[in-house]
Amino acid sequence: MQCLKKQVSVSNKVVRPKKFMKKVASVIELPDEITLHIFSYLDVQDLLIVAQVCRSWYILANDNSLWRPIFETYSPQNKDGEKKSAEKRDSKASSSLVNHSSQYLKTLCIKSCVEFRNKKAYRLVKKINPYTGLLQLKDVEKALMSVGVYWQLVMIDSSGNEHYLYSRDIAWHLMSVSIRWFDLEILSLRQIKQMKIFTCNPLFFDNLTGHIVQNGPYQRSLLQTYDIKWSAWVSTNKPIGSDDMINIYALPGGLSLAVWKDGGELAFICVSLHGENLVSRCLKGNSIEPYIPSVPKKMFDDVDSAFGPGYARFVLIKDGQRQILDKDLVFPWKTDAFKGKVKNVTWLDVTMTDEKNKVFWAVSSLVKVSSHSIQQSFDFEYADSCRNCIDYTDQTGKFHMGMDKTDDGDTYITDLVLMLSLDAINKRFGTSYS
Amino acid sequence: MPQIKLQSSDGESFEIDLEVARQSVTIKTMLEDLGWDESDDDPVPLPNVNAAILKKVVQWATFHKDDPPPPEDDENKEKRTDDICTWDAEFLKVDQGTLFELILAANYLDIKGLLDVTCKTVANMIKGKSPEEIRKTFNIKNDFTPAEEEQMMSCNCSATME
Repeated sequence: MQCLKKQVSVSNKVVRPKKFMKKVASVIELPDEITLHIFSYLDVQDLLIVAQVCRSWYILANDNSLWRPIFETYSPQNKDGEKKSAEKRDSKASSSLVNHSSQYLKTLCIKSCVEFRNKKAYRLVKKINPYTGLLQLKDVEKALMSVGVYWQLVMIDSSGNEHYLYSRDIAWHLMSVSIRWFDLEILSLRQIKQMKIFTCNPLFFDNLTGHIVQNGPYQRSLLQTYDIKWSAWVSTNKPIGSDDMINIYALPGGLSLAVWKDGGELAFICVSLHGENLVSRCLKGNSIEPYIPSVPKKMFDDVDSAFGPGYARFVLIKDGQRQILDKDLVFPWKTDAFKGKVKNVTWLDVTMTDEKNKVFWAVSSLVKVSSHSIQQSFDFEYADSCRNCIDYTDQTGKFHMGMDKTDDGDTYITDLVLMLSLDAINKRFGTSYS
Repeated sequence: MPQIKLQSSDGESFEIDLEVARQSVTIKTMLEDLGWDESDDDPVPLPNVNAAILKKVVQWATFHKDDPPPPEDDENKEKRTDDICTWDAEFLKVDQGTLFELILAANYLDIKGLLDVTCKTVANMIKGKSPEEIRKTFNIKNDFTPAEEEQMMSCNCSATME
């Protein structure tokens, strides 16, 4: 906040009482040293809040005199040397130019807490799964849990008010995590203009035990934003599946909405997040912008244009916990009062990597399993008269998978087609195929 | 018990016990500097405190005259705001204008106990509220530009909470 920093004029020295007191009608007119005294009774969360009230409080609430005790209590790298050098810089600042350093300790405190937290999390994720090219997601789960990350859904209504929900269940898979929110207080679909998914990342850890400080401040990292134009969307899209009670709709970007058949209101909201860069996306975004990974270097194009570059792909179909192929594809769900199973709906995860093992296409979404009557085939005998297919399309590519059952009841994948859009390829490799 | 006369900014005189008056470091120092003694009948002028507020201050100081001196501030000790005694809580059920004038009077007169309890009362009015609720409580204008608000939100230093 460059513009605000210039106005900082509060030092730690005690201001003498003014000779003639004006009548004070507003708390804002109180002398700075009194406001600082009031703020000294606030804890960190409230300090962070009062800084957002107005300009003069922004400056006062960030004052080093208020942040020194917090820094000394919570800053993890708060070894004596560090503390002294901070103090030194601080005192130097207040003796000469106060302006740029009066919130030095706040910045330093938060920075060191963030570094400590992220280091703690990243330490737990090292191994790459050779099949998916992704970090082992069970390590990612451990890492995020170890720093107390939790998942928040924000629903924004037409007047811009925000409604918060906290996740009720989380399922970790090989390549993705799916998170579900449900609540009796859920907004009506017609009221929702936008949904945002955040992680909430606690900031303070106990210096001795390393445990998360309960009810301490946290940062938010934006993962996904969904603009909801429900009435327009629902008029052109059919549910991907339903049971007695709910219809399930799959929206772009891994968002699924379950709607009560009775009344048409939301039963639950489900989001599937692909494992690519998941730790960084959870810890390194902020409340306005998601984490943006560094752009992969454009690769030198030494590829025979007749065949294109080499890719590896990994596909996973699952029903919540297990990888499945030997049973019917079913999506189980439950809320506080109801539960059910939606047949022929399943999670699809696709990870496609380029020849450098960098993820090229990442998909995680609820999909419909559709039945098609089979065409005549000479090399395979089918027990069923129809076969199951999964189709998925987004901007990067198209996915098609066909499954057939044999006489023994085993299911086999009989065809699998992955198509990548030329635009996506050209963008990634700097080529100009057409 | 020796008495002392205090004169408010609007000319009203208050005769109070010397021990009560000496809770104000400002008055105490003034008396020492002036070499005041019991025979003195001149009122001590307090040009920064009006009669209404001085009356409240005297009321507070009279009730608390036997209190032990408040402990020195320890910066690293977490400061509590839930330790306001019932009498003070009742005493401070006043409009915001009066509360702020009491704070200023306590600051000017240097009465630590009164300053602490009034500031705690304001802190309690802030705690647990959202920025917007705080603005409403104190009638504060939001003078951030939309760009600044956005910057503040995205700045990694502004950890937020609902």
